[in-house]
Amino acid sequence: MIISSTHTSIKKPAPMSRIILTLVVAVILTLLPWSGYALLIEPNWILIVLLYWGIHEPRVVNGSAFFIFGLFSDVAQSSVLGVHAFSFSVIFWLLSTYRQRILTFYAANQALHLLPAFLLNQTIIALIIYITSATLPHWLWFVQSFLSAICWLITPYLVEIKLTSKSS
Amino acid sequence: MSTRTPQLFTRGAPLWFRQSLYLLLALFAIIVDNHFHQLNALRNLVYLTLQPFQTVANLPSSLMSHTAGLFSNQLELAAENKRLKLELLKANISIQDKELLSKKNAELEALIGIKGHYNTAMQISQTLYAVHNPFHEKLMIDGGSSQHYQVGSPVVTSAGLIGQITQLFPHSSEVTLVSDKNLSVPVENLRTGYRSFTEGEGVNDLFDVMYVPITSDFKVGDEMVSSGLGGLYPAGIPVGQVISVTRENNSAYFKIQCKTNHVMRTGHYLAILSPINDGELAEKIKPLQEEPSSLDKKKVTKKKK
Repeated sequence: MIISSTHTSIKKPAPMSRIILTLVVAVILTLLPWSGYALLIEPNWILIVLLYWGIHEPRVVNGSAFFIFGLFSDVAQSSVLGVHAFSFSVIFWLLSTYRQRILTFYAANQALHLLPAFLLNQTIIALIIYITSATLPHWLWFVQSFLSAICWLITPYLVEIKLTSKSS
Repeated sequence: MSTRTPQLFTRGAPLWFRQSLYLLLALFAIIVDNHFHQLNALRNLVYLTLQPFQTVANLPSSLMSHTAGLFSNQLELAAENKRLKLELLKANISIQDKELLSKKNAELEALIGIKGHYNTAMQISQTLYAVHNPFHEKLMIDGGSSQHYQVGSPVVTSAGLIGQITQLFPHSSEVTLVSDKNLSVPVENLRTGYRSFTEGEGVNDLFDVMYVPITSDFKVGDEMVSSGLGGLYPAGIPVGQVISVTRENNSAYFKIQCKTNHVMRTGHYLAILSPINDGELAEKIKPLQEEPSSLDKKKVTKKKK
């Protein structure tokens, strides 16, 4: 049942429409009117999808995409411009160093390896916002990373199963 | 597809160069936006790009409220109509009362020579959605710089003060709520008249009343209203209700927790009061600044004698 990209034969590159569609869905999920605790622990949809394509299609979803979607996140959250762009760029740098290694794992192992990335993203954001506006988030906010890692387990199903059914 | 075939040789700048460039760019954006607030054009541009997605994201909730309106029956509407008429009657009576009072007040103020008038001009708007940010408590409302809204304007609902406009976009504006950690409102305890200021807690519509000595009289259930000090918020607007009064670790001050009166986040009407302009504010502060100097002069003349 576990999907691993190495066990499938050489894959065709994902169609551009698929990449754009998933990113658009992630942006809309982020912009849904969440409130209260749901808002605090809501998984970082944009980062999950960016990481997925950053691993599988690094030529399309590259550093520029991470930076631009970071700016989108900043404006969507109406935080100081550049906060998410900065942390997403750090994540992409790390990702491109460990990409080949992460590709060899099953989804569950990948989730374990990406959990630090999600946590690092949150730590960087919390640090910058603490420096700029001296506010710290509720501690429950860090649950977001764990939920994002759990969501990583089903991301390949959501993206790839549709992909194969479409191509066949 | 041919453009995305794997290349044998990497093209363009090396990874470390590109990523450090992005990091520097992001740092530059953070510093400029935080200290100089000069990136509004970029923010507007990105905001406009996100606008269609925001509309789609708001569709489910707006559809729900629309269908709820469609299926509300006649009995409910009649009952609501009756209730609204009663409320209007009550409001009209209290306005008559208020007009008399404000007339008397104006006469008294003219007698003493204080200028206590506030701009009561207001614009009506509607909440769009709660801003998605775990660090701040913010709302988006309809209308922005095209409606001549101003940054700093107090925003009120029928229940009381909800916050202040902090960011303007062409057709919408961002309101920072009283419960935000960075917003302070000068308040007054309606029962005792004790004056202090608030500081938002950042979650669940809560805020604290700061620096209230343990000797002062504060009870659970006390109404907090804006005191009008500072000149930004008109006096007497309800802000919240005290829900707990505790003392922590022999501190000299109470920890007073209050809940804001508003709970509505979407699709509700609110009024934007125009902020007092600087000229009026300066005029108010003037007498206070002059008084000590005149006293000093008297002292000097006395010394000379």
